[in-house]
Amino acid sequence: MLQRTTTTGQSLPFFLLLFFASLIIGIALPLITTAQDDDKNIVIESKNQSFTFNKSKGNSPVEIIEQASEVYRCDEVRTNVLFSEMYNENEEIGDVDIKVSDKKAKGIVPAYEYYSIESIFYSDAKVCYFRLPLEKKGSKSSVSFTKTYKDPRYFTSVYFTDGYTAETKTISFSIPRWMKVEIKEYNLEGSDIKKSSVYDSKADADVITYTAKNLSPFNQEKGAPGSSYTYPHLLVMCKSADVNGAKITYFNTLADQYKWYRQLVNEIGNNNTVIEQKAKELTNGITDDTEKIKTIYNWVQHNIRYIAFEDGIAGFKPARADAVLNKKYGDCKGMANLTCSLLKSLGFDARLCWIGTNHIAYDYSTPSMAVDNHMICALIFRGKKYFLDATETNIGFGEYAERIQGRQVLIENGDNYLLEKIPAVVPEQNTQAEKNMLSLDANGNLKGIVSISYKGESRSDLLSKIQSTKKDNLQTSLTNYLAENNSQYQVNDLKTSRLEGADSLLTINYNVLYKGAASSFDKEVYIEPDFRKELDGATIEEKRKSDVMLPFRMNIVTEESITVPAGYKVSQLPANKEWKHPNIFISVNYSRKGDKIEYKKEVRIPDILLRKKSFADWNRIIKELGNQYREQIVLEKQ
Amino acid sequence: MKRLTFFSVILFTLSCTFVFAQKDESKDYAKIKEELNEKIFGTADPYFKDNTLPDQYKNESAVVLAQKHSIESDSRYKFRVFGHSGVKYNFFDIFRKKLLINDQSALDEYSQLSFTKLQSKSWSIIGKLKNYTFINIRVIKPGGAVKSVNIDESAVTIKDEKDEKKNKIAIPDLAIGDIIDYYVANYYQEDDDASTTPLTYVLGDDYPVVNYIISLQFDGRIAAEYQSINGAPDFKISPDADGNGHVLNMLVKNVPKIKGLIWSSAYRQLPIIRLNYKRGKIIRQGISPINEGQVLKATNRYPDLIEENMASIINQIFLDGASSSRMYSATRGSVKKAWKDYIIKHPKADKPDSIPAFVFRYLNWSDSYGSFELQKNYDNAYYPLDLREQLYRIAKFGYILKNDFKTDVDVLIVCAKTSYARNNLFSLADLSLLVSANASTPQYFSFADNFDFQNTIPYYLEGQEAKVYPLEMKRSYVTVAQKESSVLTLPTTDYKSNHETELILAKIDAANPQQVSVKRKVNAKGYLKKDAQAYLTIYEEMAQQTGAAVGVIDDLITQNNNKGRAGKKTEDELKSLLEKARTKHKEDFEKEIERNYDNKAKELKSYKINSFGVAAADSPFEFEEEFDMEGWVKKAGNNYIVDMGKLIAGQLEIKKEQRERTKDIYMPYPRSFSYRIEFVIPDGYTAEGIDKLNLKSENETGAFISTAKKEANKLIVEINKYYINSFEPAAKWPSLLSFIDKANEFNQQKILLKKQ
Repeated sequence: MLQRTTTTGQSLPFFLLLFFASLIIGIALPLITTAQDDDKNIVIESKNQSFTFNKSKGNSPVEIIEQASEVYRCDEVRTNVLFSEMYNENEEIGDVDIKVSDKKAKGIVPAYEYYSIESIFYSDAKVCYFRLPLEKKGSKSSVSFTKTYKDPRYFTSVYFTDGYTAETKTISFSIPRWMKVEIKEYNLEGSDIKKSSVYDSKADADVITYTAKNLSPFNQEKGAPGSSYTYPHLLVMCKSADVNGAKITYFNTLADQYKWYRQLVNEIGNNNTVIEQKAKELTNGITDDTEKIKTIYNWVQHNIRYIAFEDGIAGFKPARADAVLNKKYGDCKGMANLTCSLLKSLGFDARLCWIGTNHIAYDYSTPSMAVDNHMICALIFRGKKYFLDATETNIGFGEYAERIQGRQVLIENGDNYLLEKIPAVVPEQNTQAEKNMLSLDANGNLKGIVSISYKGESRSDLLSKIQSTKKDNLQTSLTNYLAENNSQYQVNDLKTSRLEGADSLLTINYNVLYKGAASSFDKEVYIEPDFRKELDGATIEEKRKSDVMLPFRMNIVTEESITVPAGYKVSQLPANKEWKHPNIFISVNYSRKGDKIEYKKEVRIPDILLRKKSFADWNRIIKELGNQYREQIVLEKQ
Repeated sequence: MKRLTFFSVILFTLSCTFVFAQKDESKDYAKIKEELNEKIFGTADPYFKDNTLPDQYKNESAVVLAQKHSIESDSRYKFRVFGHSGVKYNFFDIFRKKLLINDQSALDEYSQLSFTKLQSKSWSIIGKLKNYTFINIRVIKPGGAVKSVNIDESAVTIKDEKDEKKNKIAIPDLAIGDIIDYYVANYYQEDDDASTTPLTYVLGDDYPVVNYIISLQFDGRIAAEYQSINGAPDFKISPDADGNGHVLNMLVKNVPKIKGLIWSSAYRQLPIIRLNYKRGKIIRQGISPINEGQVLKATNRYPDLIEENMASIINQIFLDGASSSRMYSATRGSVKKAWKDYIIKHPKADKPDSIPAFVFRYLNWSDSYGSFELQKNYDNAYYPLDLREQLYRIAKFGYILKNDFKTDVDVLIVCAKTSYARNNLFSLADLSLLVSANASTPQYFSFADNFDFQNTIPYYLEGQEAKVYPLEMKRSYVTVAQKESSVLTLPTTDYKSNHETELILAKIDAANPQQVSVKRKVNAKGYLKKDAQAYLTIYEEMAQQTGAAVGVIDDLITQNNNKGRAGKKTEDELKSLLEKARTKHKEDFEKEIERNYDNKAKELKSYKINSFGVAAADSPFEFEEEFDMEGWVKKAGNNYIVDMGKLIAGQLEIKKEQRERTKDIYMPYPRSFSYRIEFVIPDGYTAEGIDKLNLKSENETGAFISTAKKEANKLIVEINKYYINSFEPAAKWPSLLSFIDKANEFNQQKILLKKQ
């Protein structure tokens, strides 16, 4: 299902963002049934899922029937399991059979309801759920049901992992020879999972069975990479079927997938007159083509509200550009279509693109609906391709958000397609550069001017915070943000560059009076030069189980000059230091220049995927950085 | 200590309950929908005419240009076949709001609405009763163009049942600078069930309101009463169209937005209007009733009236409690037996004054811990009780004391200082209850939560006037008289009795000099005790502590197994639950450190509760712990700088935007904190900058005083901070700020450890 996640509207401090980075529900995880940390009370003693491909008389000639049964056991204290199974327009649940302690459960009536996902305005996701009692320690309750997948295109993946530890689990597929299916295994290493394959002559079908033991449950740690990176699962690619002599091709190749997408795009039916009129109105008086493009892109970014829809076919087919224009809201598909249409109406070569964000572990080498979750617009301009993602409200033209940078992108190209990659981003795209010109006064206060500039994701991040702040509160909130809520750090004469528009740089200038920044003892004065101390304390809990996906490739450069007051000399500067790790580079430098102390710090994240094996190194570096931040410059009265 | 009390404002919130048109709309529904549309959007309303943003609000996120709540009623006498008859009441309850969106944050807030569409009918003896909801939205563009929102087209359904649909709508073509004008209407019919509907209007919202309108029409079969307090204006009342009823109108111009202000009281500082309307007459004890077709403003008789109503409710619940439990026969037997056993073991306690406290303790133990299911939350024992639950417990307590121990008991009806002022009493919920037992020295018992231990007056009742209603035995029941027997003023505490002492032993970790090892002992008493108890105790501990105080010494497992076979069957499961709660208990202490210091401990090495504060009202809650903290020591060449000021808790800081104040200051209670820091100066180092730790600000509202000295190899810092009163007039704000700021200054202080 096409869906996206957004990090806009976050008002969390950066270090928190690390761990609250967007978490998307890539598959229909039964989140509500997930066990608490270290909860050993409930186990799935056994779970069997068998998938059979059948010929169908319904709208789709082929359907998949899942027969599922699972037995829950209580190991410590009697409780209830909140059992849930997701479904949607293309899936049906039936024959739900519930047994409690081996007796048919009377009085438990499953509820069937819409399932609302916070970041999505509307989806066709539904949930069947009920409370399943586990009557006492050692007792067992079981559930079985059937689920019908009405269209093989939508049957994309099967996960081994559940909400609770599963002691034994089998997943089997009965694939008749008339059906061509490829199953690709992901993340099976490290789990006790065995595969077998037999031919069922009666059904003329290959039966592939995976048997797993002692599977760990899902965990819900914040900031973890998408589930397809981590959890053992099977990507099921339905290629084609021979039904009663007719060959139906699903996604045998990427070309087939493109063809299906393309067919949906051809059905959109934009009203181009309205679009052209709007494009001309927006670019009226602009002669430079680059400026026209920026104007259009910026207008869609700031004037169309992003609202996610995942409603059956509407989850894949972009809304009409004129409808999006009229409503002033749309999902990624609608916004991409509008951006494209506006640009095309001005004569530019703009194309729709499909892309899987970095939440997804796959690329287009495995044609499947599970491969992508987002749409953007490509612009071929003066021989170069630019990618415009209008759902990123504050990312500039030619800049790329972390979640799409470096990803494969499927670009519309008539009956064919182009498969390319979004340019990879270097941390410098997202630089936050701070320059402080300070002097120390006799009372130990630091005084001077500060200028900070934000680019790329760091700009986008701060602007999102600003845009979600009420106007009457903005000055106070921004001041408190810059002062890190420290009332000793007084921000005065605050000036910002424009907070809207197509600028690629956000600049903030102010005068600072940092009271008591230095401590005087007898003849000595001690100063801690770094006020912001980025990443200080951002260690990762030892018990964390998942890798961490940091929000973006950040690059922070702080340069500070402190004028030493007359009558004092610098008696001690901390030693310079540098840390190098694939995930993080830091350098801290102190030097003297005339009557000034110069401090320079760089913090760079070249790779955002922080693996578990690197946690120890990361924590050591962060701890040393914290100590370094607290190292004092010492001045002595002469 | 950060102890913040922000406004907890009851706002008239828009619960977008309404209906909209769909294909399945009935003809009746569609007709009313059309009429409403014509009446609200199709008819000029002078207060909703203006589309301009007043200059004074140019910098606001959004401005409510007009907001109107109206009620219209129309009741008719209905006859039905088979002899049923009665009044059928028709109501339109309409809320309309016209809001100018002035920034992105307001756009985000108003771009989506959720609502419920009702199109239901229920049945009563006088026929079917309809309940319909409607919504309508339009957008007014800056040029004045009005765009209707087609709700059928733009809304999606998220819950779909026969009579009720939950929907969401994303409002199309809405941008900053636009005005959103919408209404939510509920048309419903009621039969004559004589219930009262309360309405509360707080004049204040998240955004300023240019025109705030209330228009309530009650016909000749409805009675209403209202009050208008804290500076809210009065209604203009005129006859309604048919002359039998009334219309109450109010227009308030330029209602300011509400800002969160520390230590303020919504009930006493915000303009509020409260109104009750009733189908049928409103009976008032001791004063003439409000008849159908009458609307009356609350008079100065109301405080007495509400208290008398409370006395009636008390009697009803006393009767209900006693009769439903066969005069508490089971409980009475066990209390008496427990008392007998108790005085054998504690012969000194065998005197009449000990009885009320014992019975209170016993009932609190038996209600809170006497029976425990596996489903119970073993992580925490604290739970609050609502007024009704309190009354049932008071009834049982009063009955047993009066009937079985022949002790006099009074119920006290009190206006809490955290609620409406007494002269503004309007509803039973405005009142609080307390019990006093008249042994030779009066003892007070509160039933507001299970952590109100014996002889405690909750902080919000101290110093308040209380009406005394003695319990009387009437045949086998207890009752109170309608009228109080006397009025008394409850005793108060002073800042010294609400006291927290901390002993902080700190030293630099030899192996890791940038880490401080802390041994901390905290002793809290008076009103400062309960928070710590509620945060830091688990069920099992409190069950044992309260049980021991009434002679129950068995642990929970033994008590469970004593239940016989059924108990033994659950032994293993109970053990796991208790063990889990004990393991999780450590997190309570870790969180306490984080809250207190605004910083997580690197490691909590040990923790222990020395005293649970359960034994008597004045017994303290005391705990101690050992932990390591990073970030308080900074390296400076061979020397170290230590953030000595951080060793006491993070101190309350009053931000720039709250430093100017015109509203009076409502704090919970007078209180004091004292800290003693003993910091070990490491061998080979001298401590410099000690004199900077001597700070003092003392005035009529409170003080912060710190003194530091060196004793042998230790730096000793003694700190006292106290707030003398719970209430201060706004004029005293600078005095409070003076020592609050001084405490903050202390927080910033550092010493230098210099290598010798």
